[in-house]
Amino acid sequence: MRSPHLALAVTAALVLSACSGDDDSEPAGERERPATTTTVAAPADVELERGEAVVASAGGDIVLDEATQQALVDVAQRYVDAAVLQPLADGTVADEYAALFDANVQASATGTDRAVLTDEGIPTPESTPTVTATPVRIDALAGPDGTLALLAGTFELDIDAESASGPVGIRRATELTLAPGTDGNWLVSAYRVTVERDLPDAAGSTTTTAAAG
Amino acid sequence: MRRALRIGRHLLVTVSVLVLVLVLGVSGLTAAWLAGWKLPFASGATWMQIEKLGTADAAGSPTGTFFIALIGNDAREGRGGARGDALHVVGVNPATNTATMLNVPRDTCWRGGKINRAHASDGPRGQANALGELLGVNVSYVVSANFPEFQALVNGVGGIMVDVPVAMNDPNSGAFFTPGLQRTDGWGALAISRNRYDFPNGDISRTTNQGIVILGALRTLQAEARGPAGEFKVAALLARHAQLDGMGLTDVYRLGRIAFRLNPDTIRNVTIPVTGGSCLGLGGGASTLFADFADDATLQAH
Repeated sequence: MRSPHLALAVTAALVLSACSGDDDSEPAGERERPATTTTVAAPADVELERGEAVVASAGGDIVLDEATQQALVDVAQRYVDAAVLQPLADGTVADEYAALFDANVQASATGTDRAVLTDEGIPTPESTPTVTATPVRIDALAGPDGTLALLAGTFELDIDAESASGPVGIRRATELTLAPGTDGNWLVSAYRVTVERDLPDAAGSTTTTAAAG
Repeated sequence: MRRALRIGRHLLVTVSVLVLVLVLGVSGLTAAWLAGWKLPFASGATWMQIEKLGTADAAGSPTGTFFIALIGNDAREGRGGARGDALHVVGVNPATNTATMLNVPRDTCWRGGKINRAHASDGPRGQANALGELLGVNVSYVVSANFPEFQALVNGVGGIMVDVPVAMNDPNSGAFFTPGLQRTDGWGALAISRNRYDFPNGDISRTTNQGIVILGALRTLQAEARGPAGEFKVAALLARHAQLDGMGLTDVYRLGRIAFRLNPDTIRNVTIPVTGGSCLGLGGGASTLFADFADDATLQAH
């Protein structure tokens, strides 16, 4: 069975409330630096790679071309950059974050599930975080005529860093399901994300999950 | 004499080899089918009809409460006018990931006759509308399958786990089961769903047991089709074998995602109260039960 939804919802709400109040869009360079920060870390970086690709087809056999596979990985990369890595640098998500999602899940991704999908508001690292990622497992769903209806990318992300108040550990398990947008690009149309955070001080260890779409 | 013995021995060996080849062949093809290989003899066969009715959301995932009618019909070769033999309406509340299933005995009275005739006269859509009218809800989706289609569907997903509530020994339906959780194939699932002679109240208990089979199917799929790979595989399988009306592959997937978020252990499986007679009237408490169901698709006061 899935994890108890009520407990997860309460946990997510607690994390959300703990992280609230830090969502202004002031450029990072103009923000007042916390008094405890003594060094400036280089931006974290990770390059997602393509993993196994499998097509479930309602018609004949379909081979997923490399360009489509890469399109999925590119969306996943943009999500990681906007929602996870940029907050590690300046505490805020990138402006393009909301545009990664379609109308089906945009409200939840930018609202109730934001605290799970992003690392906005966690203690800013003093040194460059260590970020590792598994290859992105690619699944595709094709209709009877061979048209791709949906793509899904599944990957894990581990982040370790040192903040002024202590070590920061983040483990992310991410499933992004993409549907074709109106202009032919792929947008996130459903997601399941679980994040385990080990944060210093009172924040402690938390595991939260969000799913929509 | 010796020649006859030699011929007999040859015959025995030949038959044994043929049986072995047959057994291995069938086992191999079955295993390949379950593993997702497309085999020409089954691919594309219709297992069910799924229809999106006018009340459903136009696009995207349903966000508000909605209702799905699940119908088993008794269509058989050479016999037209299939009636709704198994009638269930599932109310789903995506906001809370909760659901309730109301089971309607097939002989329940509706508009002066048995409600199951609506399927014979107006098909799955007509049956769904009759159920919605009886319960006071707008049914957004209807799924209908006949006996062979239901068996093929269960076999197609590799069987389902069913928690058989009581011992069953009914030669009429072919249901011979000990109580408890067990994996059953399409034939067994149909037998459990059809068994009414094991129970003093006949069709009423049978209707509740059909609900147990449905919850068992959901529980099985949740356990065995995890993640995008499993979900896409099931969606593709259903799309290959379902006649979709008013909806596409993505709709099937989105409904499946919602179904996978439901906890089967918390889904109420309630058969509506009815009173005796060949055309069953609604029993005491039916109106408050329906109102409780209709307000947010789940039961609180019952």
